[in-house]
Amino acid sequence: MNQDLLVVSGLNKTFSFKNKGVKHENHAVKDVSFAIKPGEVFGLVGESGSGKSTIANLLMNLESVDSGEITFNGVTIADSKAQNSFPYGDIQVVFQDPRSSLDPRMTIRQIIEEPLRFLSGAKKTELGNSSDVVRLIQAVGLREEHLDRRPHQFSGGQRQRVAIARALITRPKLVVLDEPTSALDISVQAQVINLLKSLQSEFGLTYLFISHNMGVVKYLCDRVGVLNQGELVELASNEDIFNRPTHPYTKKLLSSVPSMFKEMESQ
Amino acid sequence: MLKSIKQLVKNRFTGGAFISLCVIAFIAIFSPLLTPYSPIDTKPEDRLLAPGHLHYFGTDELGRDIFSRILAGTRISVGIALFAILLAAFVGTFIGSFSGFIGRWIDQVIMRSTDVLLAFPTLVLALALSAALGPSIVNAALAIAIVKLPIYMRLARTQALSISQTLYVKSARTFGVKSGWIVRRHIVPNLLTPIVIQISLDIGDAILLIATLGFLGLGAQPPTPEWGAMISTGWNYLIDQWWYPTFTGAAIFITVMAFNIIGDGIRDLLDPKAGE
Repeated sequence: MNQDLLVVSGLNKTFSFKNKGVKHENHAVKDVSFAIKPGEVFGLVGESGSGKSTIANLLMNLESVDSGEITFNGVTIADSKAQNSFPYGDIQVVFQDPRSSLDPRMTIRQIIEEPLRFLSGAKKTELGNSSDVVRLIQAVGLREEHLDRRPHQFSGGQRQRVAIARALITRPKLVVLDEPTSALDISVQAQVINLLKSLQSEFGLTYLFISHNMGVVKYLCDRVGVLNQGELVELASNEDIFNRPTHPYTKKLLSSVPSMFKEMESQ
Repeated sequence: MLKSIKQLVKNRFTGGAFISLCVIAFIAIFSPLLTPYSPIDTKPEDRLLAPGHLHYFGTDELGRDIFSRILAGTRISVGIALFAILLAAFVGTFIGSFSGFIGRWIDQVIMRSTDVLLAFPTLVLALALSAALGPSIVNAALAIAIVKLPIYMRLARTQALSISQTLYVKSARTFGVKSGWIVRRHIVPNLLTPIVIQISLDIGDAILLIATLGFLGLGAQPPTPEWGAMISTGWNYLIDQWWYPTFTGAAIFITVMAFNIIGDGIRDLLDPKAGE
């Protein structure tokens, strides 16, 4: 239980691009290190451009690491040398915008089943033709008859539930939630957050929760890392971050918490 | 599907074109059963007869019934046009999707080669290709497919570029999906609408191209009853035997018009923002 599930150490990522012949460099992630324990919800906060989503992309093997190392379950899954075998299915992601993250031409069943086709090794034999789809669609609060519909027949919140079911179908150890509620209405946000919380205890999941919404982070996360322009400026428990912030940037972020959540807290 | 047909029929033009298309399709499928005479066997004693109750559209210089030849030619013209366009659309869609999805230098090479193909006027390129391949109906079809290919590659590539940026492609990559699967299951199904519109707009054009190649002796060879080839010999008789090229020309005109009007109708139906 004490072994960390995910260890990120000294992670660096620089994007370079040319504009009118001048080479620009954007150091998106600067020497970031953190570790996530099994069963916890780790929050990563910061404003847009702070490198949150780049870290998610690096974790999901969508970008290559410049330097540093990502270790998952004791195995190196990404470092600068490339050619690591990535544990597809063990780490799953839920993206921000459910209007775009579900293929409009597929039925909900096809969408949820898709990750199963690409599992390898023991997971493939275990889950290869799994009948978890029905169980999961109910677990995320939808009904079995929804499986044969297509994404455009659902609201944003329902689509995000489908995206969550798709992430859980492979029984992942870690779920990366990349701003999963930012594109939703306030009332729907609350429902999805509560769903995520109940799924976590039901399936014993570990979350990496990426958000700029401090209110949601406070409600959901056990520990929080604060990113500013690619640097991890503060890393502490939920209580410490919100009650005894040390870094000035953290204090600035906290002053932007929406009042609705403050009221919810006081009730 | 039924709803869209209803909407097509509601408009007077597309409704008429839709009915003509049904008739044309019926003729193309059942032409061997419908022709009153053999479209190929010659009968010199009946040469160049005027239209009448025995030969509705008259006969040609070898005594063949023009009505029968036009019916038989429907299958050739429409069939070859469909074949050429579907071939171009199928190949073009896949090459274009991969090009747009993979990007990098592969994309550059493919797109520059479409530039080369697009630099020539359609007809000139089709003429050159079918002349180089040798005059036959299959080569004419291939020539038309090659001429039409870059349009589909361009169209598919542009769509693939934007679809590649969507989150559903990004999430698919987080499952460890291979590029081939992403293109087949995510990109191609989502770019089919503009491709279908382009196909319906291109078929009329392809029929015209086949007739043109046939007229110039590069398409179907005698005695195949191909419309372009029939006009090519028929126009010599225009002054004295007006029926020979006239009915054949009318067949081409009606068919191409029907396909073009339906093409426009389908475009308006599937893509209400375009046109107007």
